[in-house]
Amino acid sequence: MYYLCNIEEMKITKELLERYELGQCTEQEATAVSLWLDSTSLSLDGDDEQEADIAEDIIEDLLIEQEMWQHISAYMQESAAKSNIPERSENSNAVKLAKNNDPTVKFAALIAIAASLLIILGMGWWFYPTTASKEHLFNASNSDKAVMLWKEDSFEFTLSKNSSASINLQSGNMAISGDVLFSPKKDIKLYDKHNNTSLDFRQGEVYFISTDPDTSELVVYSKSQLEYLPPILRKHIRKQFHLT
Amino acid sequence: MRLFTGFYPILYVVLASSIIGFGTSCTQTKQQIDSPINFEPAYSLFVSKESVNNFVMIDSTWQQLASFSPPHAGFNREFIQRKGFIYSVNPENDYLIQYRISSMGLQAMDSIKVVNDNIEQYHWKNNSDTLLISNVVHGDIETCSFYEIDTKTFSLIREAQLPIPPAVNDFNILSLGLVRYDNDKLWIAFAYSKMLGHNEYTTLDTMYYRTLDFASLRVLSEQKDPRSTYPGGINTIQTYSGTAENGDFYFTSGPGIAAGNNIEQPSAIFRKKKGSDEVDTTYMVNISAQTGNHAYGFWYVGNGKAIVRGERSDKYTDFSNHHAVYQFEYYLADLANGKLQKLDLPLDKGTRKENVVQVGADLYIAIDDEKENHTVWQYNLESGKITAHLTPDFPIDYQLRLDKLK
Repeated sequence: MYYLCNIEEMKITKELLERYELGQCTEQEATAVSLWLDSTSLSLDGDDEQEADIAEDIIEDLLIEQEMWQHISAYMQESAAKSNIPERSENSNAVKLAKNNDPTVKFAALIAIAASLLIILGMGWWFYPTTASKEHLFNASNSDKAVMLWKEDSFEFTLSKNSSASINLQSGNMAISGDVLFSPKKDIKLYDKHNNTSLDFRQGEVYFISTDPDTSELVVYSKSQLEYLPPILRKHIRKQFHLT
Repeated sequence: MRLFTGFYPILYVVLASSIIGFGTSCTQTKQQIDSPINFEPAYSLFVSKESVNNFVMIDSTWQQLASFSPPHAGFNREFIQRKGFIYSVNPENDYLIQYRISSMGLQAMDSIKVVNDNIEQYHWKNNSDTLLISNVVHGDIETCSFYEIDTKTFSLIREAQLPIPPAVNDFNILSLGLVRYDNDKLWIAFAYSKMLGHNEYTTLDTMYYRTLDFASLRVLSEQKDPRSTYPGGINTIQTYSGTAENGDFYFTSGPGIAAGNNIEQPSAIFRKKKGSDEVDTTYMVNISAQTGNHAYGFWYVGNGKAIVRGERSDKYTDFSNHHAVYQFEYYLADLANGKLQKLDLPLDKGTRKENVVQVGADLYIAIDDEKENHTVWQYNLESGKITAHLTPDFPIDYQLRLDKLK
């Protein structure tokens, strides 16, 4: 949570980020931006009530966001390099370049505008999950009943005893303990966040999901794949979920 | 001239395509599929591609093929097929449905409500039209449901509970491996398993047999056989037994990881002689001792010979990829001297399959090999000759079943 203190002290603005990427920041500003980028939480709204699981999801989200940022940065640097060509030759700035009738310069200016738009869009995308992650988090656990059913708009979960399931619908990260049945009502792509594997779930299919105790990988079998399992395991699954 | 200059490139393309096509057809002739059926189907393949199942119907000459979809999404390979009819439980409502194979696909004829969709054993009583079905009903205590059905009228003759103990000590998962009617008696082979961990289990090291009076279902005798475990298996998925011309009954055990998972015990062939209520304790063909592996699947093919389908433990890691790796070998077992002869067939995938059909001296074996060929092979028992017989031009991951329909 100490990251939040650093973040709160910083005034990270679009302009600062732009300058950071163009290498025009002071050393102090550059350090502040680097710290901000490396921080495990972007809860700029000061929301410090997130639990460890949610924080983990956000780390994953951040990794994706940073990757996205690197793409934007690469694009920025490329545009900056292009816009630097006339800058060097004419010793001018970007505003003056906009007034230049040279089509190359006009193109460079357009690129710069496009890059700025991309940054703004990127920022929007960046901030969105931090505010939306709470409402996009599905959490369910069953500690005492034989089976429990959770119904959501886009999926259903059936949890056997001592099982839990969580999905960050923003990042698609899924975590399961125990044994669950998952019934998507639409095609969904989710991620086993511990193993960097993506899982495609089809609408209408029923999936048996558990976590391998040795590797902590998610083990997923569709109902139709259950027929490939040893009959005794299949019996065990049927028994757990009262499928007989 | 313009016409000709424009025409020559097309001619070249057509010629080149023909040559390429000819070359391809020489290496692998894929049989075209028609739809709907305009011939009398004699065989059927039940195939799966990315978990979507389909029927491919084949005529008696293996020249004409047609495909159709199963009647509903939950329809899987666990069906019973006889005399042009198919029997399958709809898992949505637990009705056993009788279907007729028609030119449009499977046509539902009638249905009977059963306790669950999990048929473990079916048996045609005296090879008549009376179908015997046994299900294990899971719960805190396992029970066995038994149905006697007249398939001529598709009516239930009898519904009863089989007197099989639900557990032995803490081995509380019951598996019915074989059920067979003989001489007004019902003979049942079974085994008990238990979970060891999250996805791990094992099976008690004993095969149990019970003989019941068929009319009253009273227990007449019981036998415990410690030579192996997990006798037979779910026979809607694969065959594990056969009856010789002299009436002797042969069956296999499956202690390998894909079945009983008590791997120290051998996969083996056992015999119950005609007229006897007991399994012959003097007879055993130890498959594992000869192949160094476990086996699942046994088809009696006449003259004291049987086909055995054996796994290769060096090919898979555990049951998670057991069905997906190319590992299965086929052996011709001589039941008199116990010798196994490996057949010159490509390694097959799929842990359990009902894929061996016999027509006279010819065996047809549907194999999914590592070159992604999904081919029915022909093996002539007299000459020993093995040839690729049919490769349907159809999307296939697994040929789960090959059935002779008449």
